[in-house]
Formats: sequence, C-alpha cells, structure tokens
Amino acid sequence: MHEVLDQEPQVRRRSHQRGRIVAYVTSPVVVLLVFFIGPMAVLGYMSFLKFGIAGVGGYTGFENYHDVLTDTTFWQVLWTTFTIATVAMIVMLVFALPLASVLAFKIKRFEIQLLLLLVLADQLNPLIRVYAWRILLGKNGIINSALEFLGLINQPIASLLFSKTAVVIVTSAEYLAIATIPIYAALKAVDPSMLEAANDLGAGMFTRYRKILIPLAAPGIFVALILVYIPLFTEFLTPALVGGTSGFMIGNYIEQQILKTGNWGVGSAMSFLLLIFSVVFVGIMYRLGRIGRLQTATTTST
Amino acid sequence: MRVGEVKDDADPIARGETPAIVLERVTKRFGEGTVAVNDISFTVGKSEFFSLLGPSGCGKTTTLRMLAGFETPTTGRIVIDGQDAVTLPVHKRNTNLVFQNYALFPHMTIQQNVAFGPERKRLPRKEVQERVGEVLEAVRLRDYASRYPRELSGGQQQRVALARALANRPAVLLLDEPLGALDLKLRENMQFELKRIQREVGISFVYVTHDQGEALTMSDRIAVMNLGKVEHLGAPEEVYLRPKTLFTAGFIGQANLLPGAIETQDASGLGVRLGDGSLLQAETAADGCGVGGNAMLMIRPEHLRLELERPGGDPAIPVRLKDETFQGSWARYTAETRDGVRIVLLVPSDARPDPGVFERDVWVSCKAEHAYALPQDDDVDAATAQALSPSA
Repeated sequence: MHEVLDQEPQVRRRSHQRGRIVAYVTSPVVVLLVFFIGPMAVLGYMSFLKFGIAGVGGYTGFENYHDVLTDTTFWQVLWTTFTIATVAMIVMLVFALPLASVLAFKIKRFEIQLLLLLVLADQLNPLIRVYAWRILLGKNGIINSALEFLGLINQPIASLLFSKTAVVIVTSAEYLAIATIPIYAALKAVDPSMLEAANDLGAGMFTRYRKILIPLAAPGIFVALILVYIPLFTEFLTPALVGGTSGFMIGNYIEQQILKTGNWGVGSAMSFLLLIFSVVFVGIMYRLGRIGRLQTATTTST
Repeated sequence: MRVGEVKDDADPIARGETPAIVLERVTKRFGEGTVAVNDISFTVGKSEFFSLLGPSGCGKTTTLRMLAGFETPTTGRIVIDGQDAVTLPVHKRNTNLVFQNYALFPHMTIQQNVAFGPERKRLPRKEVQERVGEVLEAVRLRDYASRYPRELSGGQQQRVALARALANRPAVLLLDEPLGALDLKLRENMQFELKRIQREVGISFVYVTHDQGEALTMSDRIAVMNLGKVEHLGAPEEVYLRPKTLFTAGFIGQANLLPGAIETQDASGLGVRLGDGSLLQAETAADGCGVGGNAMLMIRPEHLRLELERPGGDPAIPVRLKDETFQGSWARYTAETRDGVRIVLLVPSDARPDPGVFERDVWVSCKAEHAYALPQDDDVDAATAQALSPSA
C-alpha cells in the first residue's frame, strides 16, 4: 500500500515535467520557424519562380540559378566584394590587434570605461556614421584639405570618395569595435609576463606581435573573423553611399535585381548562393578555429 | 674577526677585476610619493652568485627589473658588462631574466621556447640547435625537447625557464624568486642544481628572494634590503653571524634580541647589562657599540643553553619557560625573562627536561663567542626588528 501511495505523485510529477520540457523546446522552435525559417522559405520559393515585366511567370526550376552562375557581372561583382571584404578585414585586424593589446595590457586606470566607449561608438546609427565619413573623405573634405595644407598633394584626391578605397576605409572602421572585443577578451587571458619574457630574450615589438601576441590571440581573432567577415561580405549601405561604381558590392547587385529590375527570382537565387558561400566560410573558419583552440589549450594550464 | 671590523673580500672592485654589474646611487620613484629603491649602490663580480634578500616591498624586485630594463631608474647609473645600461632597451641588454611564474610560451615546444633567444640573435640554425641541446643537457631535460610546457611538472618548467634564459649566453642571469612556486623538497634540490649550473656556466647570477635560507645556501654575497635600502651587504656567514643592523639580525635566521646597556669593553669583548639586571658577555659587536651606549644582544636560539640549576661561573639569565614545541631532532622552547622579554631556545630532543620544569625558575646561558652586540640606535626602528624576530 505504502509503495503505491508513494509512487503515484511521482509519476504525475514526471508527466508534468515532461509537458514543461516539451513547452521549453517547442517555443524557440516556433519562434525560429515563424521569424527565421519562414522568410527564408519564401525567399527559397521565389528563387524558383520566373519574374518578368508582366509579373510572376510561374515555376522555372533552376533557371534563375543558371542565369546567375553564367552572369559574368555576378562573378565580377562577387570578386570585387571578396577583395573589398578581405582587404577591409586585414586593415581592421591591423588596427584591432594593437588596440586590443593596449586595452588588455597597457591601460591600467580607465580600461572598462574605454571598452564601454568602444561599444558605444559602435552603437551609433550606421547611416550617420557613413555620412560622417563622406564629409571626411569628400573632394573638399577634411582629409583632402589636410593633405593639401601639409603640401603632400597638389590637388584633392578625387578617388577618396566613391571608390573601393572608400568602402574599405569606412567598413573597416565600422566593424572595428566588434573585431576588437573578442581579441581583447582572448588577450586578457594571456599572462603579460609572456611579453616581457619575449622582450627580455631579444624580441622587438614586431616580433612580439608575430611570435607571441598573434598566436595567443588566435581564438579571439577567429571569433572576430566570423563575426565581421559575413556582414562585411553582405555590406550594402556603405557601398551604396560611398562606393560609387567601382565599389559596387554583391549586396548592391541583389538590391538592384530586386528593387530596380524587379527580378525577385534572380535576386533570391543570388541571396541563396551568398548564403551557401557564408555557410562554407563559417565551416572553414570553424575547423581552423578548432585548431587554434587546441593550441591555446596549452596556454591556460601554465 | 675583530670587534666592529667588516671586510668585504668578495667585492670585485677590491679584487681589481671588471665587475659584471655596477649600480651607482640608483633611486626609483613611482609616481609622486612612493620610493621603491632609495639610493642604492653595489657591484656584482663576474661569475658571482649575488642575492638580493628582503621582505616583500623592500625594493629587491624593482632593482632586478631595473637591471633587466623593465624599469628605468629615476636617478643613478647602471653599468652592465661595461656598457651603460640606463637607456639600453630591454631586448638589447646582455642580461636575461628567469621569471617567477616561468612565463614559458605555451604555444611552443620546449625546443622552440629555448631556441627563442638564439633565434632572435639571427644565429645560424646549426648553432641554435647546438645551444639548445647544450642548455637542455645542463638542466637535464634533453628528452623533453618536443613536449609542450603544460606537459611538464612545475620543477621541470622551472628548469626550462632557466635553460631558455641561459641559451642567450647573457653576461648576467637575473632570477626573480624562481623557486617560489615549488614545494619544499623540490626547492632544496633546485638550490643545489642552480648552484651547480652557475658554477658550470660561470656567469654571474643576481638572485632575488625573500627566503633567507635560499640566500644563505647559494650566495657568494647577499645584499639584505629593507624599505628600498641595502641594510647589509656581505658574505652569508658575515650577514648571519655579524649583521650590521637590527633589521638584518632579525631577518636572517631566528634571533633573540635582548636590550641592554654596555658596561665594559676590553680585548675580550663587551659586557652588557640586560634589563633584568643580569650581565652577559659578547665577544663580537657591530660598529657603533661603546661603553655607556645602549645595545641589543643577538643570540641565535641554538646557542642558548638551558640550565636547570643556576650555573656557577658562566653568566646566566633567570627565565620561566612558557611552552614547548617538539620539532624532531630539536625541541623549541619559548621563555620569558623577569622583565618580560620573550626568548626562543632550541634544546636537543634527547636532552629535554621533565614537564615539571615549567613550574619553576630555570636559567639560560650563552657563551661569549655566541653573543653579538648591536648598537641600539634611536633612529633605527627597533619595533621593525622586533616584529621580524621569532621571539616577538
């Protein structure tokens, strides 16, 4: 009798718990389905439809994909996008690494405040930021005027604005904060005496970066790459505002297909191809990142 | 050695050779107020094992970091291996530092760690390999070359840190409490290892420690530091047996410090009248002791003899025993004199008295050769010395 009495509420509690678990699991799945998978499915569906001047023309199979992959302009724009994103990423790392290491090792007093400032700067509306850069980079902008005043140039550099260079400068500045923070976090775990030891053994600043700081910051650099490279690749606003014709990126091409030409099918196909590229990129980064993590596993034990 | 006479045989300048390090009136201030190192001068000879010994915050680590180049002296001159080093950047100095926490590069193998220095000198690959093999041999870790630091024990990591610093063949090796993180047994082994390696490579070692045992065991000379100043610089025996200041007396080893007044002074030594009225003889004394002056009598715990009956000839102090700690071959007693000064004495275990001894008066005596008098200067903070001594 006692055993039966004891068991009953337990069984009930268990089934109650199971109901809760189901609720916990299903609610995020529903959110994902409605807000994430749903629009993607619509996009995927549209990439198989024919869009003409007359409107939607029905199912066409892989014709849109075929059109995109045989479109030489697509490949050209993709190449431009790749070069801009890669160069911007490198420029960004060149600034983010010293910035992160100064924050992690040199600043003693206002470290947290400076970090907050960096995050706040990142929260500024991107549109306002890009317009600010337009003022700086313009033909009569501050940079050109300063260079002229210093006598370094005779006439303003016209290509500062509306060029690939402009896109690289503005985008690398745009994501600097996001790239700096994971690198800072990785460096914070590095014993500063490691750098002193390298210095003591005869390494100058450049060697210290190359041999000690970068390898030890590797996990942070990988996180920064993943966080920044994809938004860089799909950048749309900045090239539209400062890119001109030479700084035309894949995001702008897609926008053109959809909003200007009205070809939703081709635009969707391009978006999907871009998504596949991103997944492949993240996959590669993940593998490389795992190697990085294995290396740094040696760090923490000392 | 005569009363008050201190000779510095190991001083390289006195021996007429070029020293490895010369520090001249070096002062280091941090910010406005704090003086970490206050006007210190010393020289370190080639192939000398030199220790900077003192409590934390005494300026020993700052001194070492100035030698390595991580700190710049506010005033003063540093010459390393005949080269003015004040403005010389860290990576161009002929010194190498063994870090307290080893600071091994975790992403490199032992081989790569040790090769780091020679590679920075752009030596040919073959020579780099030779040097690495050589120093790993010296620290007996040749078989571990391809491992990573995390795969080694603390003692082995310590030896790698030493090998890495030696691979650069510096004129001076700087060591910042390198044995601090090791357990006692390993530490004792490493003391002998360090001394052996130092003799083998024949370069000067500057060794920072707060452990007086370590300093006494390994050093050719010791600079005892306190509050940014060098209190006493000398050979281990001298620092231990004839300290110049109360601080040194209290910091090096265990010492009983008994206050008194100097009554007599002759060829055989000093007579010191203690606070409780008893008169003790001290054969040796530091500079500044004279009849009529106040003195501190320093007696090591192992040199005090416990007397159950009042001894006939030798001078003795009546005391009451307070407690006893059994320490294996010795038993450690604390006792109190009639005027309330606490003293510590060690008695061989097989000569321990009956427990009844705590109930009655006993005496402690000391041979004149084992008592040492220090001037009790009002300027010297006797409280500091008292706080450091075990009898406090």
